[in-house]
Amino acid sequence: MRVLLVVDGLHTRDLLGSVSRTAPLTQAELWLVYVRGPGPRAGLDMVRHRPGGHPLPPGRERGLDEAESARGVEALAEAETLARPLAAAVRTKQLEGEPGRVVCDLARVEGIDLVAIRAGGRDQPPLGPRSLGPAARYIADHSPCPVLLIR
Amino acid sequence: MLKLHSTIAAVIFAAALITVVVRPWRLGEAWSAGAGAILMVAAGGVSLGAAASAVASEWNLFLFFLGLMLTAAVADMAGFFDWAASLAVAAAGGSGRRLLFNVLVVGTLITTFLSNDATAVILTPIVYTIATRLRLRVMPYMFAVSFIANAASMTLPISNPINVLTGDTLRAPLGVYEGHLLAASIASIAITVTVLMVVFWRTTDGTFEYDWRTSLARAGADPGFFRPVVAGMCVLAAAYVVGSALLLPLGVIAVTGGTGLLVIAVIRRKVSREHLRAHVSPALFVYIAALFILVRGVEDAGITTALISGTVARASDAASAVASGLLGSAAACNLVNNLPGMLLFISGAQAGGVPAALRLPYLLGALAGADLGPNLTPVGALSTMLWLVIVRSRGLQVSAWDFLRLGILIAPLTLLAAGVLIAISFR
Repeated sequence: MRVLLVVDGLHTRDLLGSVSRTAPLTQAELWLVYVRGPGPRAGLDMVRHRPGGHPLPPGRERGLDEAESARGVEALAEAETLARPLAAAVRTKQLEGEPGRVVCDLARVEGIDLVAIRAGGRDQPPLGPRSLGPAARYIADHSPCPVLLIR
Repeated sequence: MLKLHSTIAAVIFAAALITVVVRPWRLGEAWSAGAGAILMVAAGGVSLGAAASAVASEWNLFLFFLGLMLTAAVADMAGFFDWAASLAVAAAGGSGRRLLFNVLVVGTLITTFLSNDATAVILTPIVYTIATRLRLRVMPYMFAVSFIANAASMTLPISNPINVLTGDTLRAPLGVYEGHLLAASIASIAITVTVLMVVFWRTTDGTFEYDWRTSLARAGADPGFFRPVVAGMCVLAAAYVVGSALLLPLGVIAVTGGTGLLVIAVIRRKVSREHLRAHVSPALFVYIAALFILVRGVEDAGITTALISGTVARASDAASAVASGLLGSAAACNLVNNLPGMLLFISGAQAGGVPAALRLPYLLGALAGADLGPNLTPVGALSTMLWLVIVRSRGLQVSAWDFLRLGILIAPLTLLAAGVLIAISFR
């Protein structure tokens, strides 16, 4: 069995606990996936936008890229350490793109049997409806395999 | 004939502003506004001489923008903003919540002395990088910078270029300005900080480890450049305060200070073309000049006077004038943008749309609406909607709705508090 867990770098311990209680991970190959989505950067562009435009200096742009990449690497390393005792095999992958779409594509290509993701969005403020974040909603609608939404 | 003239001016003005907001084919605002201004002159909405005079008479604002851009560019070259952000992280002691509060404090200080644009344009990516690197939720810190940039932008006449524009019209010295607006500014900052801390109390409960000593040292890596720049910025801040008190042209102070800082960078051989290109935007000057011409066109056609006298018609005393200006400009600034919105109000008030006795409370109310109103939507209501459509069409998930949900909470509270306190200041 192949289980794909979307790691957000914030709730890794809770997510792994929930998945291991729900799915037989001891027999499974666990894929830990971190996605560098474009949403936060689009939010940054929106806040920074001013008439006349102010492009980011290249050094600053590089700093943003490095920080995003390092965050993903650290999140996956932490998740891998926590997951090793729980699963038969562990694989990690950092992807880039719209989170829901790239996770569904990966699940399709790799023949994943179960996709697990935190239901709430990573960065949503605690105001208004909180049923599903955008990535979870997309995956629930488009995943080629069963989906486990974790609260 | 007069009616036809008014109609042409109104159509050109509206079309230009709609194009600025909608940005078809991602057309820059300067192009849309510039084309509108050329059309306004070509159609006879405003004569060439009047257009030149409309632009030339606002030399103080142009100089102020130039000075601000130069100051921000050199401060960024010296690592000042990184240093300030590192200080905020160091003082947080590993607590995500304390970091949120510190970001709000740093944002308030930078907005107060370097304008809201410096906070939004320069501090935001630094805070984004830090929150990402510390593996904290990024968006609470982004919201903090975005909202505090507007909430604190009423504190001094230099905290927002719109304040300079209004100050030039009112010729009110610092004592008068602060007498009416300081309490409102403090209240709006306090409300914004409180709401953001309450809303994000649980989501910023993370902790982090951070080598702030290395980070601080890296931010001010060249003390021979960093220290004179910070000292120069302190002198400039003091000069702003004195200049505001003595009614000296703030544009001259800003450009003198900015040039002085640039000279320090040249002497220290630290001038970075990348930073200058990123911070000094010639297109902004075209945009502002075009807006002045467009507004002169509708002013000459009597449209701004009619519009403004409409909003102030029921105002009988200072308190109701404050309320009219505040609500009218907050609405206008969310529909278009705060600069064209405020220009309309100033133009209408100057052209006789507001009784002389009510002009000060009306324009200060309008100023508060233009400074705080944009917190309702991040880039103006129409622009925000458009932004959502654009990014969704590119398949991105962006948090503009989240900004809107917070804005609906913060903007009315700060506007209400500011309106009440400014009205009380006229008793």
